[in-house]
Amino acid sequence: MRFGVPDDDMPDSLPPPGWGPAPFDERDLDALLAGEMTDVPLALHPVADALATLRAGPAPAELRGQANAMAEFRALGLGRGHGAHPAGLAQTLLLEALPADTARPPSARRRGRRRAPRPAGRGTGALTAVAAVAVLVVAVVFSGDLPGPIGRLAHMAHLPATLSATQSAGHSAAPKLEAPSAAVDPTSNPAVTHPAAPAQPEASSDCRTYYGYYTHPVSLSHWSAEVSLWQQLTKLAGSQNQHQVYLYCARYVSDLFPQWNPEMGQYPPAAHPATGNTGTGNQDSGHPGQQNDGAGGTQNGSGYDPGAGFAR
Amino acid sequence: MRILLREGPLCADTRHVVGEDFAALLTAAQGGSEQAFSVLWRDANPALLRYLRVVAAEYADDVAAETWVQVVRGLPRFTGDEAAWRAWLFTTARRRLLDQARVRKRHPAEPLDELSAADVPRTADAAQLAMDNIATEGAMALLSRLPEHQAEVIFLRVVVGLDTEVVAEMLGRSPGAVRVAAHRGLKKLAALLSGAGVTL
Repeated sequence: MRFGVPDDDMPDSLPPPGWGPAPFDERDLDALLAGEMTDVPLALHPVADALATLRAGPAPAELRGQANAMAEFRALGLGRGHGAHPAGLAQTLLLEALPADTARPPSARRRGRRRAPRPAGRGTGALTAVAAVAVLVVAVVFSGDLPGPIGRLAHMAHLPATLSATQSAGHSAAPKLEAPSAAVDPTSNPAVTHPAAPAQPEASSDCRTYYGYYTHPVSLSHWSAEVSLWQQLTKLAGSQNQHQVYLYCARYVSDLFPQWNPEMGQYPPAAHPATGNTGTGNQDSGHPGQQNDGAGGTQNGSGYDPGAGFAR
Repeated sequence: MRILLREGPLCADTRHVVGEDFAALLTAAQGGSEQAFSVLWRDANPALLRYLRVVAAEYADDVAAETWVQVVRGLPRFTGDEAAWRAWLFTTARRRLLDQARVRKRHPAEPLDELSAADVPRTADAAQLAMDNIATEGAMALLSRLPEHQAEVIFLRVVVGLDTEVVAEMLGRSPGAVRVAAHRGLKKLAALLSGAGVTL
């Protein structure tokens, strides 16, 4: 008894370590394990911060092995590259050669037959003819001289990638540059808008119908309708050039293709004005994910930015 | 295709990046879309590498590469949601890790002489990259100070986002044991952080 009070009321030592209520209980730990990082006790804040740091976005070094993984993906026959799009976006039937490992092996009966060797020049000649026709078709398609429906079908395979880029990246996408510089149409000038034409309800309807085929591809049974529509549009636009026709129709169909803005030098794939050195600057649009590996026409990541989920 | 954006290093969530688009992405990847597979890879590989660096830092990169080879081979046959995908991926990684550990035990390799700091190739922004990554590396180093099974459980639960039952199945333990290990690990982590003045 000192100072008139019992010793128990005035202890002369500090409480032992750990004395008192626990700073957190098992429910707090469970919440932390479940990913609750906001409403945690003060004592667990450093732990929550450490775990949040572990969940941070990827460092560049952690994405360095992507090329190897993609190579493995291709090597195992899964990757198709060009024309392969996320589900729901692929709208074009692509006819591709079967990979070597999935090709049907020759039957035993056929294996046993021996045929007389063909003349050496026959196969070579056929190959040469096919290659020549292919080169001609490609050159004509990229130069924009074909009627619209043909050019549109030829380039339809690129549309899903463009749409995908717009949807995933959230901003307008310039179509991918693929044509060689030899295919430049020197008369096209994307900076010049089409001369003003009187607004006609018929023209509006034709334009919307024709360019509606881009967004809703139809079967070949509509071929003749497309051709006649194209002819009407070329008369209205006063040009056979797809750039000029699209420029004419842009005012009516701009809501269908927000990613194609002629004023910005962006056109439908079949009529891209920057196919060559026209000085529009669209050869490198700066759009993420658009790259051309230049080998075999494989289009890796075109219009689709796999890194969109990792903006930091 | 909607991809959730990470807002910052500390606000990121490595568990639900793909989200509701996962099914479409998986289907596309199984159909041969390199873009879709690329999204899956970029979503999962950072967490996979961090996991491997926590439990087996010395051959994390090798195991990660082997894991993806295995996953690509099995991809056409895989069915399931994003949680199942992650469970499959990390289960595959763990098995490859055990295989690698066995191989290294039977055939120990002599490490080559380490390059001196002056010989290491550098990029212009190497210092900045190092600063960016230092917090994550520090957190991984901290987790590595826990007993291995505790660190593994915490990583799989918190960073990968797997359920207790899935983790228990992966590790061959009961859910109760997994929960106890996780709690002990977190308590030890809290003690390490409060006692040693560790800063991240």
